[in-house]
Amino acid sequence: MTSIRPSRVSAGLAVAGAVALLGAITVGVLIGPVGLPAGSALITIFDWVPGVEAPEISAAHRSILLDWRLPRVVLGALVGACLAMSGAAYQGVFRNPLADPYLLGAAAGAGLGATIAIVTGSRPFIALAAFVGALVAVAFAYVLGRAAGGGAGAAIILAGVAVAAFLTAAQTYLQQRNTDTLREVYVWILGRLSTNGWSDVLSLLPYAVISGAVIFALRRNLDVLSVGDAEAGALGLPVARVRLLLVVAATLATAAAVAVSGLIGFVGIIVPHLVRLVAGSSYRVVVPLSMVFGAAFLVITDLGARTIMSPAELPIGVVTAFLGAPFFLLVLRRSRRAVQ
Amino acid sequence: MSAPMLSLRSVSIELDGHSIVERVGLDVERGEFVGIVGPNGAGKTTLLGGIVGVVPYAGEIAIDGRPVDAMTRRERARAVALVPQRPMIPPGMSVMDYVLIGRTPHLGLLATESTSDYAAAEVGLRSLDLEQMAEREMASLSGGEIQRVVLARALAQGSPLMLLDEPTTALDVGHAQRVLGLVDAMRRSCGLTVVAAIHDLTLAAQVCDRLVMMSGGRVVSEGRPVSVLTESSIRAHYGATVRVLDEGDGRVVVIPTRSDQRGSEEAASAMEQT
Repeated sequence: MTSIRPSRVSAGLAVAGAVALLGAITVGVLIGPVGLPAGSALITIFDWVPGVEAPEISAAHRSILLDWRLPRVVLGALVGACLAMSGAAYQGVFRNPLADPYLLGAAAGAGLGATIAIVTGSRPFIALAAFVGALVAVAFAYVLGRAAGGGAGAAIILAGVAVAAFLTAAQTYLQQRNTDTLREVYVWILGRLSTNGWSDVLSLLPYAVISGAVIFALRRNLDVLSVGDAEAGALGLPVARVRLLLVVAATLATAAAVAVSGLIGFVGIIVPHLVRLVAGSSYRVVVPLSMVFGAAFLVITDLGARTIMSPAELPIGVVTAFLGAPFFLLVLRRSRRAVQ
Repeated sequence: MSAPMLSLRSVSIELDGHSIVERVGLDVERGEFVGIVGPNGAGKTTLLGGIVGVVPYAGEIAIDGRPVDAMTRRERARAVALVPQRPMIPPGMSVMDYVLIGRTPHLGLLATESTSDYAAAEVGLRSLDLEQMAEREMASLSGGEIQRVVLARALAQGSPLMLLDEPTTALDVGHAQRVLGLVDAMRRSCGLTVVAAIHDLTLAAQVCDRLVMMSGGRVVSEGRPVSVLTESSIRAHYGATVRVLDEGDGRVVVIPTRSDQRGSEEAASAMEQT
């Protein structure tokens, strides 16, 4: 009997992840401007399960719970999971610890798309325009980078920097030409989870599930890529194909998340690194734990965004950085692991 | 008579329009330990890259009688393993995960390892005496330990042909000797065929059955160490003044000597003529 086993999520971390996510969802559902009766509210969520009797709860409370709080919390969890797993995938594909989901211009493309939709008065299409903008930007960066560097990671990143700079310039120009919508554009860019029921959840869900499945299934290949393109190729890995698959999956998830939430920084870079500090750097562990902790992290930060200055809402991007940065520095300080 | 484990016919490699390897022909028999020697820039590393398929080449390369052109990427990686000169080491990865990366050619893109892969990784770790270090992170290892871990990964790959590119460059004389000794032991116990580019001529002469000297992209001589490593050939191709001591068993010891002005001029002009 051999004792060799690859890194895997330990039982302790699996439990910690489940507790963090379920705890975040519970707190996120219960806390808000209107107090809900905790016990009956939680049971109400599960009254579709056969045998669960819904307790007495007012129609107003029921609506706040099921039509407002729950979809928003679920949306936050999905966006957080998408951004964190995409960040982890980008970091692995490009062997760059500073990579985030917006590395190849997704943020700039989404920003330009949303700005065009806002200044042309096509507000119902903001999400679609942001989604398309993000995809087009990354596609450009990838194609230009491959043409320049033959598929090498560094050339693609540089092409991403150039594409992002170009699109940001275009977006800034549009914004300056239309100062009446300046504030609206600014608010969108800072990020905000919507509260329009389940429709955003349903539009993000397929991308989150498919991209998550692809990145999870390819997690071992992310470890193989960490020995470099040449060695991975000599080991029989189709490097260019694996990189393209992972970038497409991560970009779809990012674009879909950006479309419903605006630009939320920090999650995609900090959550995977937090996971590495605690659980080691194998992507077999980093990918699944980033999904779970990314989801929990964004649910909690969104709770902060909507309660700290209630009834006004803070941009969630501000809260992710404001809560996340000190927390990350604390973990960094206490961690015995070297940062890679 | 069975086909040689590795057969090169008129292999040429160009990089960025420069000819790096020119019409190299070479046969390596099953179980041999062949050393490739030659000065910096002779084309040794590029030739090894061509054999494993990371550098495009012209000519014919066959492993165990099968042309590598006809193999898929994974089939080729199952036939030949490369230990690169400067492997990229993921610092936070555990030794165990790193050695398991060697099983990549045996796994589909979506697959994860099975017990046979764990067993192969364990053979790699055990052969290089690394079982106690399996849980350690790569960043915590010394240079000599890292070299052993990289060898273990190549061994776990399970390929019958192993190529090593300057496996002892970063090691002191003791570690260099032990690493080549381990490679030789692996070759005997696992039935491997080994081709290694080696800088240290004395080590190459001590451990290899046969040496191939490359210079300017071509094979300039091959045979037993005593016939390849002569004072005149080393002067001609390395521009170095050395004394070569024949140990009497076909192996030699190469000792660099202090080169006087006249000697180095002679060596320089000899190099220019080649």
